Amino acid sequence: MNERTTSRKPAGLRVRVATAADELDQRFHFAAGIRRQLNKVFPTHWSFMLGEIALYSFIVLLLSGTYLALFFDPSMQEVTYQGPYGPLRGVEMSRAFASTMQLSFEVRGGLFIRQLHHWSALLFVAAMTIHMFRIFFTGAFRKPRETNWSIGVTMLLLGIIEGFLGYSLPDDLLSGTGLRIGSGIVLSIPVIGTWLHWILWGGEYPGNEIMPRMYIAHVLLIPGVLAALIAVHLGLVWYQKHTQFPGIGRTERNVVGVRILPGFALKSLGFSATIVGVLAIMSGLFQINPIWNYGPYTPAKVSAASQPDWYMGFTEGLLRLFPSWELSLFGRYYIPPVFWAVVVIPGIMTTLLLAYPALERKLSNDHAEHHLLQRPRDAPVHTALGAMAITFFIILLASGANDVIAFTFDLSINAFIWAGRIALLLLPPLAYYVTYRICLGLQQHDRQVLTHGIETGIIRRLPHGEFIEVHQPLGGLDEHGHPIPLQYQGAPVPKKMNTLGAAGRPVPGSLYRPDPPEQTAGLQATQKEHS
Amino acid sequence: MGSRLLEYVRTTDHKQIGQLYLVTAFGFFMVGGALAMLMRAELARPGLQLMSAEQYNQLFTMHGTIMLLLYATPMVFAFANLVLPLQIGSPDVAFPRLNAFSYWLFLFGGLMVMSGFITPGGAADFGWFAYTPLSEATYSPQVGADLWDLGLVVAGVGTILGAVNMITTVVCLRAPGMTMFRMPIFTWNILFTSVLVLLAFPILTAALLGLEADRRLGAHVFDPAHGGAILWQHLFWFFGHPEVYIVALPFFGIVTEIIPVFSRKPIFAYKSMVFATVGITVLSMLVWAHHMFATGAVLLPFFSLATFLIAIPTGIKFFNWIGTMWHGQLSLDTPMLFSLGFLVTFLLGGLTGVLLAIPPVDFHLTDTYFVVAHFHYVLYGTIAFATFAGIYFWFPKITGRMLDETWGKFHFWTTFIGFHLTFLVMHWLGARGMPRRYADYLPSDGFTTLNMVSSIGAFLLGASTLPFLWNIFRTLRYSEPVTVDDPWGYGNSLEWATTCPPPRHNFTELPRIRSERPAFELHYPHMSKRMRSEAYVHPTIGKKVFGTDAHDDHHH
Repeated sequence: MNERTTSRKPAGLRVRVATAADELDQRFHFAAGIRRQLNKVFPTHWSFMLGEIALYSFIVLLLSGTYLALFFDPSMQEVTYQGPYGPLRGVEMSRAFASTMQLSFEVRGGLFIRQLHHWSALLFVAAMTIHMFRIFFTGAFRKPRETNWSIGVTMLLLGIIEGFLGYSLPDDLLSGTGLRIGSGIVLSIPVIGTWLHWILWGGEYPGNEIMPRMYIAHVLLIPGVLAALIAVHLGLVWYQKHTQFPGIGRTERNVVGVRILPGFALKSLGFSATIVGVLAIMSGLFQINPIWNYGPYTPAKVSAASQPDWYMGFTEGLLRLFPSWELSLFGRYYIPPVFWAVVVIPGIMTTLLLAYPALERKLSNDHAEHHLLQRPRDAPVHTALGAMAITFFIILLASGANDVIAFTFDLSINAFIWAGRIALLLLPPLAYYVTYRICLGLQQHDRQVLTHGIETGIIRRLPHGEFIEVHQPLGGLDEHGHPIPLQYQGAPVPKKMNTLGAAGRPVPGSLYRPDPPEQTAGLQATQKEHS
Repeated sequence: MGSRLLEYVRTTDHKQIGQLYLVTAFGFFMVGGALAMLMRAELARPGLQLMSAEQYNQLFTMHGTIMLLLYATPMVFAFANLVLPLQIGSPDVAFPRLNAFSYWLFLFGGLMVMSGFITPGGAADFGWFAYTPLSEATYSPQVGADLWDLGLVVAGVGTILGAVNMITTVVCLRAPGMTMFRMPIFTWNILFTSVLVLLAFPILTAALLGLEADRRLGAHVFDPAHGGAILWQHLFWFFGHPEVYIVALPFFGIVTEIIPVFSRKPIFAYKSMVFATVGITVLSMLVWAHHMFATGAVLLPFFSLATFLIAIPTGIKFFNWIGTMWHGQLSLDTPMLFSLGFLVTFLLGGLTGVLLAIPPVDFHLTDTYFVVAHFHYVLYGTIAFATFAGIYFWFPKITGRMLDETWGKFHFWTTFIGFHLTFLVMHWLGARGMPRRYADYLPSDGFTTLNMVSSIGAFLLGASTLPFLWNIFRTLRYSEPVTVDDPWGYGNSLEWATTCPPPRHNFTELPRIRSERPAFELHYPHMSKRMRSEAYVHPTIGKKVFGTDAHDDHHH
């Protein structure tokens, strides 16, 4: 503490809080343990906050879901809609759909909470995916953190399933189409398909059983498992320590960063408030899943442009791209292409994802512990593999919407399917090659800058007419005036003069005016003392 | 390889951007040529054998668009980038990042235009000058037409920015001693080309955006009800005619650089060459409506006379080129061969141009194959022949290796014979009344034999690219690197005073610039005095302008 930054408010409140804490400590004796935990240091980097987005949207999901559960009824009982929404009045529908309509049009704040729940679900899966990319591309999954990688992948899969169940619950025409595809997928599994379908649906599709079963899985089972896994996931991060990027003073044996209190906790608090705020704005302004436009589900109908939520899009793409190969055995049994497309291929994708840390450990023969992260360019093989996987996924995602794209851009849907098939085979290897080469190029550029210095953009003409570009050496000059070459340390290398402060530094303050000069000076003096 | 790739993606070096322009524009040239060969295959015999009339329309539209706007125009900037900063002794162009941006605009604009082929309605099919109302949404509803329109807008913005860059470079970045009247003719011509680009291309961009507003936003800019059809023709040709000179002047510049080197003489009448360029620049803005004689909506005497006038500065250039070669020590290397091919071909095109400028003749010949023959003689003669001449000439400067002469000569003769076989006969076809842009003709029309000859020539012309590509491949793969600054031996301008290829910032030392031939004076210092005395015509003594004296101390 420093007298310049210490609050000058009267100490009354602080004294009372301190007394209360002391009373508690006399009874439970937690001061020693808590001090140790609160002094924990957390490395800072913007990309370390991606997982937190998933965490906060999960909390929003729990809270908004609880509100929805107060009004939603997952019953398949046939009712006739008599609510305030005119176009559907008199239409037969399930109680599930009717109660969602009631939730949207009659419950106070119901539509807002429904949209909040849906947007949060999209963000939840998206944040987990992006967080996984970060972990993957920086090598944070390496020993000793393989377990946490597996837990993360499991959570991602559970999140996808949870989302699918969730948007199936309103029993509208769009989600019913998705559920019907799900039923087809289950039926396509050889030998056990029909039995499994019988178990899940309790009879023929659609039946009356599936809705309450999905409901209980959606509101109790999976969220419970997810919450438990989140606890383990965070506990492991706490216990195994967070990874950090290489940099000045950072080694495999230390952690450089800010303490949990006050810096990190304050930052996280602000960040969570921001995420909740952005989600609330989106839910208030942007319509999502307007089931009253789709209408109640009837198995006889399918609407055009039926796309699932984004995280299921790749399965839709697989279904559309996979050739219509039917495997017939003994003339009696046959395996439809659906099985290969959406059971076998996603199965392989999941297995590879789960097994990746072990595979890399095995193939690279790297059994050492790693607490320092890799820059993606320094691990070109796994960066290129990641680019390959993302390319594969994006082609499937785009192909899942190929009818919409073809319609919007006036393209031939058949040509687009073939383009998707060819792209799925050709582009991922191409992405691998290009990424690999780019990684090597970036490595080389780093070393060039370390050897010769930063290009300043200043071209000078010497007396004899030679043009030279002035370089700013990073490591000083030797006795001949040549730059001293530096070793690459796995950390970012400054590439522009501005990163060295050539353009000055921004003055602290708000968007419109700078802070008072004496306050700025005080802050600088304090920072100097602490550094 | 990875670093090479990244280097080209993020380069701001004018030499590398020039290479990108060169390779990309040549790629488009080959695509345009392939389309032309498809058309000639269809026209070889009467009847429709290979394609529908609609596909044929797409082919000639895209052929014209690609050749004019995605090959010829970017090729200007390819050479401007590769050579101009070197010629004025500058380390780079004035705005290197803008330069890179211009290239990427051109590339992606060009790909947009091309992508029309993969849309269900096909590519644009209304001719490269897109006359309204044919190009409006009613008659050309396909999305390929929109891609054509907006792709050209994107590429056109790149062209405009490129011109800004070249003008600024010439004005601001000349080396000490490089006065305006010591600049090489190529640099002069790029300067005036850039002026023309600034005058013409914004008109095209505006007209294209107006067309797109008509097509997609329901505007009525080019509605025939209020004269919009003629308005489009005026706007298009107000761009289109200067465009012809935009893709001619730089290539005049290229041959003007080559002819003195292979004649072992200074350029004849340097200043009149500059003023001829100025004259062409000014006149080219005044002649656009000679494309519209047949509309009956333009003042025939004015545009006819202005068109005749443009033959004067062009004639001066011819006179000077011949004057340069006159009594020279001619050496027929491939660059010189292609320059001579240019002279022959462009002369014929220029002569038929004078014919077409006569309104009664134009009424008879407009929209026939005579016009097709005319502009192919003018454009192919200028652009393609001079492009090849320039590539052979500056290839050592670009890559540090000399292209093979034998293959080069083979390339020249196949190109030359193929070209004239294809297009000479079109004059007769046109005079007999064969209209352009028709996919078919009748056996009873009597066009069959000449069309067959033309198609055979076209395939020979197409095939002549193969020895060129092989030559490039074997040169890059197997040939010896060039170790001297000036492998041709008699280079004049500053690019021959630095290494092959030049260092990152072009020069490790600059010679003193005392004339328009600084590299020549650097390599032959003993010739300086004589060069000056002979370049100066004394009004009373009347001393000869070019030296042919037997006692000269020529450096052989």
